[in-house]
Amino acid sequence: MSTQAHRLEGIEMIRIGILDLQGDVSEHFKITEKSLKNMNIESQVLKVKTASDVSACDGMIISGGESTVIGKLMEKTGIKKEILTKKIPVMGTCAGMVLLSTKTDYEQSLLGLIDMKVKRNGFGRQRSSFEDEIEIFGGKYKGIFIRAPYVSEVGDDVEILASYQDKIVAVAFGNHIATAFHPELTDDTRIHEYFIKEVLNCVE
Amino acid sequence: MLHGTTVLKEGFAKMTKGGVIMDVVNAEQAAIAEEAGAVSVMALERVPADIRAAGGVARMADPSKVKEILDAVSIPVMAKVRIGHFVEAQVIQSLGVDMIDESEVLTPADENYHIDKTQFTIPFVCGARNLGEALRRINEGAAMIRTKGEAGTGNVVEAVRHMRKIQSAIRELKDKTEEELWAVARETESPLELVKETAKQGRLPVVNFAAGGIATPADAALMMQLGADGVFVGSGIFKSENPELVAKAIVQATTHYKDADLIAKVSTNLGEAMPGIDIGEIPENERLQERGW
Repeated sequence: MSTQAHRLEGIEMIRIGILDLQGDVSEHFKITEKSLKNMNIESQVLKVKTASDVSACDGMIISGGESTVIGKLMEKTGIKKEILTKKIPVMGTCAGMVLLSTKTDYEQSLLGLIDMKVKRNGFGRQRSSFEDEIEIFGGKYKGIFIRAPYVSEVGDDVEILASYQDKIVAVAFGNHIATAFHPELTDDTRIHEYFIKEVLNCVE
Repeated sequence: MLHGTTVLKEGFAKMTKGGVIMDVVNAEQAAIAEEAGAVSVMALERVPADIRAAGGVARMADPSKVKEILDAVSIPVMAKVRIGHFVEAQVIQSLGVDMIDESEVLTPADENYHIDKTQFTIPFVCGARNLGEALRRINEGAAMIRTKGEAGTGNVVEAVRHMRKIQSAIRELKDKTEEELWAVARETESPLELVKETAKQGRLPVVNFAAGGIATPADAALMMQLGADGVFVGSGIFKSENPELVAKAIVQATTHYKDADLIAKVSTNLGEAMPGIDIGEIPENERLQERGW
């Protein structure tokens, strides 16, 4: 409590933007609000549709959806350029993980913020989508994997947060975090809270 | 490890939100759709406008056609099966398709029963014209709903009618008492639990797209402003003069559906849209939306 209050000293409030171009945006919106409430942080959650929306954000979340579609629209709207210029922490889930990577097995527009190679739909098509228990932050976690990617290669400084069947499914790098699964489809706020702490560290 | 759970099925549908699902009949069209920013493609033997023109019995696509399209793109692939034809659905699932559309665009195979969609690993999307129809399909296991509209017409009027009907029925649920919700369940012939859940959420409990007659970027934005989570575009793209341009423009208009300046810009010089049909000119027994119940 005291550390958090200390952290927030001099900061009026933090603003988390949810990229609102395509995908399960409202699910991220809800769980982000819930996480911020849990942490008792004065904050605002915004939907980001244009490049100028990015400038209001202290951190951003890229939802699940189709990475090819979101990537194209991020480029067209100038959001990609703005994120890279502003250097804010970004969290990505599923398609968001693909977009945070430096390389995939497909030619598409990427942010390249996490030094890793991602295999899109690495666990297969929808019939192979699965739910299973995984381990993260030293505890159990309900992993929901939908046409999920996995990380096939990581750079030296990338922290591996979770693996499933020998495949890397959650990573952190700098202030960025990416998961192959969908925390926004659960009620578990641990991963969002982890990211919000990263944003706080940056704002400080 | 669990497969085919409701969370995974409805979750898949949630990932398509805000997107455009495009009808394609071959690998070349599928690649154009993906390049234009389609969130998924619907693999078909013929687009609805051609199904309408051809007449006769319309069935699921040839597996070779479906495979051709599966191999052509990295985005999810959907395919249509006839209402009630659970074996066509088994076949489509075995091909590796990501979602099945139990569709009135094809000739129904069963006049009494829709497919028991809980028996499948992959999710289903089904058409609906009103709240009761939507909730009955969800009760059968549909993970996603779309308006029926009137496919293959290039005329958005029926999709608008169905979307408005569903949205206004949901708004009416808001202030109803418990007993009144029982009456709604009875009147709409839908399960009470789902009526209550819809009232609680203030929206359908699954993703709800618009479909059937969307032909222009403005049509797509109209459906989004009316409350759709995304749009299906059937004949509207590949029956237009410039499919690539139209596809890209519809994707942009669906994302930025409240931005009239942007819709104006992307609607400029698109060439001829698909030729449309007045709904009044289609005899009632030839209207696809009347199929299913």
